[in-house]
This record gives sequence, C-alpha cells and structure tokens, in this order.
Amino acid sequence: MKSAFKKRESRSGYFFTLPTLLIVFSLIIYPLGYAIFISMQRTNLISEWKFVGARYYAELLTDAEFLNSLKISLTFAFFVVVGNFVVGLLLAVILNQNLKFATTFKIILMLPWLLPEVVVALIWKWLFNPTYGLINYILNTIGLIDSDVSWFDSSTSALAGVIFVATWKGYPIVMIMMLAGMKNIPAERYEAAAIDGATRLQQFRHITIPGLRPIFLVTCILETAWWFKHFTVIWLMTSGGPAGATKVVSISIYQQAFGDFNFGKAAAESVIILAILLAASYFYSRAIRNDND
Amino acid sequence: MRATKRKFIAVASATLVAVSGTISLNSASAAITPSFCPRFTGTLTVLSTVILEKPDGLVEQEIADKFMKACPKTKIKFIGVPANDLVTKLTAMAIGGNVPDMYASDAVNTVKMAALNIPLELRAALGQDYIDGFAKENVGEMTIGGKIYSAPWFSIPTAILYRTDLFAKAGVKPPKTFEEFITVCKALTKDTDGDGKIDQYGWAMVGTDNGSGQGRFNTIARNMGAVDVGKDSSGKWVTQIDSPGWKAALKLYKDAVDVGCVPPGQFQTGYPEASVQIGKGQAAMMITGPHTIGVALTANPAAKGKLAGAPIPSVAGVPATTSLNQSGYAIARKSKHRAAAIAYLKFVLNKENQLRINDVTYRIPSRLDAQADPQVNSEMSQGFVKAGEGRVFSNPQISWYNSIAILSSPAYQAAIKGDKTIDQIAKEQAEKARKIIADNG
Repeated sequence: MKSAFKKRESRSGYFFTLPTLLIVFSLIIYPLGYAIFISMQRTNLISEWKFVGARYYAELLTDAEFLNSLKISLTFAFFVVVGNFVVGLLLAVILNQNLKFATTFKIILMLPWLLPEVVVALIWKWLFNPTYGLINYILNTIGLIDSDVSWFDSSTSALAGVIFVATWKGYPIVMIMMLAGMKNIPAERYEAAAIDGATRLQQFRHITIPGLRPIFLVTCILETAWWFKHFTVIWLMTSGGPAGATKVVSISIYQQAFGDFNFGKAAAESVIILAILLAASYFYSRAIRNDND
Repeated sequence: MRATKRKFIAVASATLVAVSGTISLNSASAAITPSFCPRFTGTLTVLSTVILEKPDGLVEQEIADKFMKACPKTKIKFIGVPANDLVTKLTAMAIGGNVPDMYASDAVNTVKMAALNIPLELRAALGQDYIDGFAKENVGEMTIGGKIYSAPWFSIPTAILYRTDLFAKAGVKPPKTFEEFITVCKALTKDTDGDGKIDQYGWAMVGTDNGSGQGRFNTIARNMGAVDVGKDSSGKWVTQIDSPGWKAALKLYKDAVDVGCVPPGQFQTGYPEASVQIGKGQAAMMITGPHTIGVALTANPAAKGKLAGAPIPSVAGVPATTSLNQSGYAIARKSKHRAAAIAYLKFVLNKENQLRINDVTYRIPSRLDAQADPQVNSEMSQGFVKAGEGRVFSNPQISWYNSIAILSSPAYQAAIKGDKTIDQIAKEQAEKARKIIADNG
C-alpha cells in the first residue's frame, strides 16, 4: 500500500518536472550538444558534413592567433570588469549619501545601460572620429592637441578606447547592484562604529566592503562572463582592428564562421570559451560557498 | 402593374448598363495591364545591397514602385543588407532555409551560393536570346560550368576617381606609375585655408578590415603583378601573397600613410567615409568604382562636373588590370514565385531602368542595348568605362575564395602600423593562404 503510494508520488514528481526538463533540454542541452557535434565536423551547415574528430581543438590550442585573441579577451574583460567596479562602486557610495535629487541622478547615471549597444558604439565611434569627432574638436579648441589624433590607429589606444566605451556602457548595472547591497547593510552597524570613533573611511573599509562581499562575487561572475564574450561594441568600433589588436575571441568566432565559413572551427572555439567560463564560474562559486561558510 | 413593370425594366436596364459598364471597365483595365506583369498575386521578397545606399537605393525603390504601379497585384518587399555583409547574411539565410525569392549576387557570392545549390539556373529560365543581350564579360563571371546563376545588373570597374578641380589647382595629372601615385598624393595634400592644419589630403584610402578595403587592395596588388590565389601552369592552386608584387602593394599603403597624404583615421575610413571625403574635397583621389560619383555628389552637389576616372597604374610588364565588381540578381531555386521573379528581373534590366540607375549612380549597365547609349560614356564616368574595357581580372571561381580574400586587410593594417616588417606580414599571411589551399584546393 505504502509502496504503491510512493510509486505514484514518484511518477507525479517526474510528471511535474517534465516541462522544466523539456525546456532545459531544448534551450540548453540540445544547442550545447549540437555545438559540440558541429565542432567535430568540417561543415558548411548545408551540404558538406565531414567528421574531423578533435582536429580543430588540437589546431586551436596551438594556434598563436587564437591564443592571442584569448589573451585580448582576458585583458578586455579584466579592465572592463575592474572599471565597472571602480566607477559603479564610487557612484553607488555617492548616491547612498541621501543627496537631494538622488533619484534624478540615478536615472541619468542609468542612461548608458538603457541605450542599445549598437547606439553606444556608433555614438562613441563618431565622438572619437579623428576628422569630425567632437573629442578632437574640444581638445583642439582648448589647445591640448594641435593636430587630429587617430584614437584607434594604435593597438594600445584602440584597446583602451573599446575598454573605455564598454566601461561607460557597463558601470550602471554594477552601480545599481552595489547600491541595493548598501541599502541592505543595517544602519545600526554604522551607528555603533561611529560611537566607537570609526572614521567614514574606516566604516567603508570594515562595514561596507564586507557587507557587499556576496554581491561583489555574484556581480563578478556575471560581469566576467558577459564581457569575456562581448562582441557588439568592439565589432562596431574597430572590427577587431587595427591588425587584430582588438580581436577578442567572439570576433574570432564570428570571422571564422562568417568570413571563413569554417563553422566547425568556430564551434570548437565556442566550446573552448564555454569550458573557460565554466571553470571561472566554478572557482567563483567555490569562493562564494567558502564565503558563506 | 404597368408602373411596376416599367420600374422593373428601368432597374433591369440600369443594372445591365452598370454591369456592361463594369465589363468594359474591366476589359479596359485588363487591356492596360502590361504584358510583362506576372499573374502572381502576393509579395516578392528581394534581398538588396543597393537599396541601403544613397542615392542608389532611391532609384531601386523607384524602379520597384514603377513595377508595382504597372502590376498592382505584385508587391516587391526589399530586405536591405550592406554589401560587405551580403555573403554573411545570405549564408545565414541559406542555413536557416529562408532564402528570399531574389537576392543580390556578385561574382564571389554566385560561386558560393551555386556550391550550396541555392540559385536557379538562368539560361533556361530567361532564354538564350535574352542571355545574348548581356555583355559577355559580365555574364561570364556569373557562369559556372556553362550554367548561369546570376543575372548581371551593373558593373563598377575599379579605377582612380579623382577631383579634377583639385588636380588642376595642384598642377598634377592622374598617376601612371605607383611612384607617381605617392608623388601626386603628396602634392595634393595641403593646408588650403592657411590655418596651419592640413585640410586636403591626396588619397581617401579605405583602410577598414572589410570587403571594401580588401577588394581595393587586391586590385592594387594585381596591378603590382600579384594575385592572392590562382592556378599555376600545372593547374595547381597557388598564392602569390609573399611575392614582391604583394609586398609592394603593402609598401604603397604604408608609404602613403607615412608621408601623411592619407586622412587620419584610415582604419575607420570605410567606403562611405572615403566617398564623402572625395565629395567634400577633403581628399582628392580614391581607388573605387563609378558608383562613388553618385555618393560623392549626394554629399556635395557642387562637385558635379569636377569628378573623373582614370585607370589604376600598373608596374612595368604588368598590363593595367581592373575588376568589374559587378552585382546582379539571382533567383532562389526554391522560390515559389519563380515566374514573378523572372518578370521583375527583366523589368529591372530593361533599357529604360538600366539607364535610369546609370544616370543617378554612374554604375555601368550590363545589357548591351543600355551600354550602347551615349549617356553611359559621360564625361565623369568615361575613365571607368575605359578601365572596364581593358584587362579585367575575375576572381577564381572557388567557393573558398573569400577565405583567401580576407587575408589582405589585417596585412595592410599591420603594414601601416609598422609593428612587423612587410616581409614578416607577407610570410604569415602566405602561410595561412597555403593552409587554406591545402584544406580546400
């Protein structure tokens, strides 16, 4: 009797989880499995299918150009994430001071996040244009430069330029998350610290930062994954140039697939990126778990 | 009763008159429906690169509107795609199984799509008589193994587009050698208003990492005597990317930037930006096709009559070469509206419409009847017509050609940057080309 009930209960358990399983399978497992399948084929996705095994993986792991694009992606993601944290945290601290018109400032500061990436990239591309861009015009007018500067003609300035624009686009989400985290830190802690004679800086160091730690970690995972595989802003501003100086791994994948029409190799690159991001997420989640312990 | 009868007759007669009126009106409207109109009622989808350009797109829309006015049952719906993204977009559409009824197709794209069995064979669809009405060189690039997969619409032979007024002011003539090219480029670079800042440059170089830059560089390299990929005497695919000619083309790009005769920001200067620079007189010459005349005039109508074309120089022993850079329309083999697509295609290609697009955009028509019209050989475009009449280089008909063509843009950007030597760059790109050939050839 008891066992019949258990069986029925377990059947209904499967039944209730079935929709979720189907969604997870069709939206996550199947595309991932298909990408791995394609990565082992030489294919144009229409008429040519030839199994090549792990050939593309072996090629990529020794391909200097691919490894360089991984390095550029890491550099780009690192500086954008750090930039977003510095700017986002600074602005969150300012907005947390119960200023007048704080809501208005919040809305204004959120604007870059609300703008589509395409619009952001085109606006900044125009601003940075050496002949008719506003930045050169202003610098010329105030006498800081005497000839037009080509901001995206050198490797360093091109990478710095796209990092700057990505930071401008990305800081608001960090700012809002930090602000939400700050609101959750009990005011009593600050009051007690003030009674004990702690300065504002000491309060920030010993109360705010530790209080924000869980948010730091979650934001860090999201931001790293987001910017590591970023494409739009860089593609529209530099197309990966000059001479590959801003060719992040997502641009390499795109060019492999739609320039070279080597979909197998492009899929192999994507799978490698997936593995890197999974490893990063694992370490981050371990860090969160240790933190909670 | 009589009144009722009379009323009935009156109503009946009125109805008859009305009906016969309708019949005659219908027959009248049937009579004015042109014979070229398809019987198809619905929407024909056309993937176009021209439709996004200005003023070119306005003319294409105007031609479609004329067709829709004459054949109101058929609607033409354009999907716009930038020319540099055509292959990408079309490949994605082909993979997704949603290729439009008609799509823009250049010579490279035609080969690629034919390999995927996407286009309809047009010799049978259009008829041999109609095919004979195309210029031979044009239709030749769209023919693979005797089968025609795209109907050429126009060509834009690559040459030097230059500002005659700025050349006259500087006292120089279009360069005939590449050494002269740099000298002329320098002579045209000036501070015209005396404010201490250069505001006019010699060469509007397209230095972007895309098809616009690659096509122009590859044409220059051919005139230096190097092809990116071709067959050797034994019929094997080989590359000349590390040959002296290809290196000389890289050096030309580097030298021009180093002597300061290229507007700053050359890596962000794509086709649209360079065309505007020519139109506004910020640069005096550009490697391009006659279609840039229309774009330049849109940017600055005052430049009318001040633009002309001249062939690209070539090194000693190499005949001056150009590429037709033509574009046409292909019809999808799986299109359910094949007859309507053929009707629309023939309408676009009729003499009147060929001359209309030539009039506004200076693109050179592909049909012989339109080519014979004196309008085509106007003062501004005759240099391009002349270039097109010379030695025409057609890209090899290999579906993987694009993989080789894209090797040039990182190379000229690297040469200009100067972090590596030209020998190093050429060696690296040649190795990549040889790997592609080994994988495909």
